[in-house]
Amino acid sequence: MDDDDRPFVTALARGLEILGCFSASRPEISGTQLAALTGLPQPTVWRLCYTMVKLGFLVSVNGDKLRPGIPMLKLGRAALASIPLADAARIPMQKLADRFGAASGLGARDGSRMVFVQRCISEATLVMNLRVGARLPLLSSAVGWGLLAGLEPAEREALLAEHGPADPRWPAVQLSFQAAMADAARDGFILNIGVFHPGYNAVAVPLRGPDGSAAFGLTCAGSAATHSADFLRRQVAPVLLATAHDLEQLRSQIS
Amino acid sequence: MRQAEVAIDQPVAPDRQFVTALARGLKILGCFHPARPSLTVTEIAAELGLPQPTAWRLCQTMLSLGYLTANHAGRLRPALAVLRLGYTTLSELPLAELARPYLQDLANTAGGAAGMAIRDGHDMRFVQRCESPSQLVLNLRIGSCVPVATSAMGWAYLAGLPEAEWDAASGSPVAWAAAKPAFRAALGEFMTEGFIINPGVLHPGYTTVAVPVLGNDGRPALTLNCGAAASVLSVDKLRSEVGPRLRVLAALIAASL
Repeated sequence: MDDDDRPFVTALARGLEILGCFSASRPEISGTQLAALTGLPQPTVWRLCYTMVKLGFLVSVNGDKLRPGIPMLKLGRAALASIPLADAARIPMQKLADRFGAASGLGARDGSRMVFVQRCISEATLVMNLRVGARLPLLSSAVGWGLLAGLEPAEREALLAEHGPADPRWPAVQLSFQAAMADAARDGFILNIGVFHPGYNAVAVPLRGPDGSAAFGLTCAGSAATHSADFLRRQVAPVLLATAHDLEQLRSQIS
Repeated sequence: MRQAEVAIDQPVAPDRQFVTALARGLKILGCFHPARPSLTVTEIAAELGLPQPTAWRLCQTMLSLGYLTANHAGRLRPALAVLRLGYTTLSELPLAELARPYLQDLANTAGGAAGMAIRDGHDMRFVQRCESPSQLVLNLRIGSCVPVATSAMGWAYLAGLPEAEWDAASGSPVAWAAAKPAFRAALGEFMTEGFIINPGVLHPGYTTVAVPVLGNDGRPALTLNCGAAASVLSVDKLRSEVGPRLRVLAALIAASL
């Protein structure tokens, strides 16, 4: 199966599609299940998986199941490292988290998800156990709202139209989302009060790229018991906005 | 399906079931690393020894699928979508779980058992243990301990430490004094091969090979072993097959720390 004379290499696309079937909630999948999930013929799936097992990108586990191999971690790290801001943001974000006994996240969009490319947490605080690489829903997370608040209305509406119908939580969060966008237009930040997770509150802002459009969402979040909406609005938001401004400056220097 | 012995750099075999285009595409993703986050198609083609048009078509495919992004100068970077290809699945797994399929495969190959341990005082405590079915193995479980002084796990740990720290790490002076000559003899092979063989010192008739996994500070963070009854697993096979595979696994795990 050498696709050298085709412009689009189907075998590669299919192999990547197979790898994309695995997730933290579904880490081990059998060949038969992979065929069902991808709609590919079983012999094709077998050969693609055989190739990836040989290269170490998949490993056999529990006899008939497969799991991504350890080398996939390295590929992921390289993808995270390709965002220079993620590394540069660590110190300012840690300061932010420490100052408010909170967690701070920097996320970029991958389709309908926001991926944390940096995450800093102050010690011994009650926070969501999310790490770098965690994937949050674009339409209900604070980091997603922060990014969306920074987009032109037409671009935002296009993303809502694209991803809303497939997100089961969207109908329930739509009203709070619209209110948050109205807040952002006035204040420059959004609040996500228990929408992403009950008892968990966050403030978020967009982080603009050199072309002026939002490229990241930046959050500061904590338990509702310690981080009320009022506290986030009055105390945290001004510092978060200043941090975002600093990071935008930093970004223009490094990219 | 036999598990890979070498992760990414294995040469492409003349194998009719092997899908070369997929292998090459994945190797392209493997060219990027934090010290070299962006590459041109020309650089990729040169690194992998691919014809430029082939590299271009593979990159084009990954660009159109969103796994690569290109800047105005034509430099390619892996996109966040690459995280979906396994990073998201694995990044929050504990090391013991990450290593489990590999240790199980080794145990099956050896006809014995394989495990992962961390040092706990003068013992090595198992944090993972995989056994091949229906075999004569030592009855060790996750949570079990073996002495640093006499076990392959302990020897691998000591082999990763400076000699000045051996006595303190091994504890029990009597057992250590008795085991030390055998350890020294085994250490020679460790220096050249990277794995250490304990020929029945912990338990007569049971042979084990072990390796340290060095942390970012250069000290052993944990150890891996694989052993079996001497009647099942010859020292030859331990040397030629099991030991080298354990060494490759240790490198793979060390790279993920």
